[in-house]
Amino acid sequence: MKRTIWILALCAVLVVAGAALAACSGDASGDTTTTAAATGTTAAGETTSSTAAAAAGAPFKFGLAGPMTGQYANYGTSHKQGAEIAVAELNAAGGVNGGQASFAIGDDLGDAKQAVLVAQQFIDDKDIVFVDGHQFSGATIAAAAKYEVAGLPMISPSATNPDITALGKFIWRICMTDAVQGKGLADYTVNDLKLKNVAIMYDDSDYGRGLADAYEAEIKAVGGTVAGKEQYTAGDSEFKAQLTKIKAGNPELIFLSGYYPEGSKIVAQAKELGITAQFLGSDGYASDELAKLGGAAVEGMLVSTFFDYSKADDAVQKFVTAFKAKFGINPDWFAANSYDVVMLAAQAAKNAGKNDRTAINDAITKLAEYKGISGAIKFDANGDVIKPLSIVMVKDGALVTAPTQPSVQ
Amino acid sequence: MTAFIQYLFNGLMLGCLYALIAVGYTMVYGIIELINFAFGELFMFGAYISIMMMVSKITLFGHEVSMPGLNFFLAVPIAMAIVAILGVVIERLAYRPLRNAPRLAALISAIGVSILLQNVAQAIFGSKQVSFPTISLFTTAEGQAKSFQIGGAIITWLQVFVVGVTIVAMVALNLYVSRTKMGRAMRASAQDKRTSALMGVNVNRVIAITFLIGSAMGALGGALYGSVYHFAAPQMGFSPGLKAFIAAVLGGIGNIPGAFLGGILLGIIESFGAAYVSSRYQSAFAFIVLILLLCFKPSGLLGSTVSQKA
Repeated sequence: MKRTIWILALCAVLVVAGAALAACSGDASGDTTTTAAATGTTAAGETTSSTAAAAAGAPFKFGLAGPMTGQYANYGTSHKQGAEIAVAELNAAGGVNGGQASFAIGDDLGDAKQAVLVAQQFIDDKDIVFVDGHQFSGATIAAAAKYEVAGLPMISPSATNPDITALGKFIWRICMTDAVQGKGLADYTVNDLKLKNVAIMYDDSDYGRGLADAYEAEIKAVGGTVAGKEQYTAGDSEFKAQLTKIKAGNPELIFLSGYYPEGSKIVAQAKELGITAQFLGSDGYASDELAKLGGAAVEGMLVSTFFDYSKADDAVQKFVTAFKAKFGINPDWFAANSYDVVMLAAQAAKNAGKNDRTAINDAITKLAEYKGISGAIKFDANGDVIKPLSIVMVKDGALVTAPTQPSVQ
Repeated sequence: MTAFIQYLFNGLMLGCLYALIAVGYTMVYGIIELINFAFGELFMFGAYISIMMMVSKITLFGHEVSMPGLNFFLAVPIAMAIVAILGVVIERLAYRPLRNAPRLAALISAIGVSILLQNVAQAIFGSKQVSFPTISLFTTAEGQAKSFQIGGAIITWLQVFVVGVTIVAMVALNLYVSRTKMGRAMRASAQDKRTSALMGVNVNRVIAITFLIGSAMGALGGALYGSVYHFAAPQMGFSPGLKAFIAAVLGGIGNIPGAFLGGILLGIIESFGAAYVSSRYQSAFAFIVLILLLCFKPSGLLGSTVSQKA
């Protein structure tokens, strides 16, 4: 009897704790949803008072897909924040083709199985005219097959796997592939930085490996030498064994292909081992978090990025100002690319004259060039993007435009 | 030679961190034959709470909160105390009601607690990694780690500190278990719970103390791990927790010096494996060692407890 009471008490405690937690997390997401909705309503209020026709148009609603919870939630959060800025801007200007801009969130956890479920939800929601996402290559490949069959255009802001755009004519992306970036960075290392003896350390994922291989091949092609090539697994924190081996090859530059959570530790441990080589990080390092986690060790590190928030450009600074005012931090390239996806689709919808899936897709096909905040965006026959690479440098805890930029674009 | 010393010392330090968690596994297993998977998460809370105590401001549940900004050497004991209490609460709520249930039920409960704690940490601290403040005693004015050289290998003072603290903790713990009355009660309960109870040992109290000590050690490990690698993250305890479990089995589960030896060996094997075989399989070495051990010496290097229990 006593035992039953205990178990009941335990259940009660767990339920209360669970409810409290749900309430807390509910609050957090509730906040953002309310903000988005509130912005929407204010904008709607303004537009209805000025132009009565605005309310009559079909809505410009899109699906936003990415990891919103779980261990990759930080990427999804940037993605969502970028889209929120775009929606606020579109609605402040009266919507798109007279329709209110808004989005539905699909949490794919960065996982392929979950991405397919999200894709089905978006396809079934007839108001959704395009998808801003998915973010991770694995999830994108799984979902893209569904979108292609359903004829719902999908524009990924960040999936870099080379195979993705071969999946169909409704599948687009606005980030360059790993192969293109790897080649560009190798050219930059040898031709612009004039450093010939390099070492490579990469995250053993499709992304990290693909990029490292492309970089290595081009380094050799342009007359450089690769003094060492080591790998690690995402989530590792001990890298001294690999770094001790790399140190023996005496490289002038170490190229890091992966993401900043491991990268900040790699650089810190390299400095502890007395390695003085220049560090060059792939786009996965382009975040203010790098400087926060790496501290003094990452000062002077070069990072490849698709979006340089310190660039002296009106459109860029307008976005950065709006973003900082709303979220209190500098936008990373995930946020910037998400913004560009929404604005590019809005441009396509305006060109088509209606908010309709097929019409938007056709209009994207016809877009000659779109000037986004992440650079001029052009699509090749595949739906892959042709766009310049920027290099930033960590300075006083922030990412600033690096003194040496890639000469060949 | 330089590289060899470097690998050896790196492995030694990593091994000490594994040993601190392994000791919790081994003590708890020795007494109630439960693999408390939540030690990895208590390790993680050890790191987070140390950070909370050391910074002046931190974001909790998405809101900025003021914090005391204590010294590392004050923050870590506080974190250990809080996590120790958390460990006891977990035992009371999630394991004690299942004390007489089949062992599988308790194991599933342990996995559940582990997942719950990870998610709680993510809800409180967010999914982004948090940076661990530098410890002024071990850092130069330029923000670099203070270090010295032995035969060309560079060793930081923080690494030496980690090894020193672990050795002191292990010796103290071993003395506690072998010399004190409570230690004797622990050993008695490990041999036979029912008979110990008949002899007047309060077994529930012994188990609670075991969780208290194991959790505090885990928290110490987490705080040191966080300071060495400069971070805390909700998932940070998973991999070290698993490795520590292997270390405990390697040394002979139920045996405290065994956990220390197992941890150190595992750390060194990993470091040399990554250096001389391939870094691709760094994490796999731990599991290869586990499989070989289970095939040839299932009771572990110093262990005899398992065969007694079986």
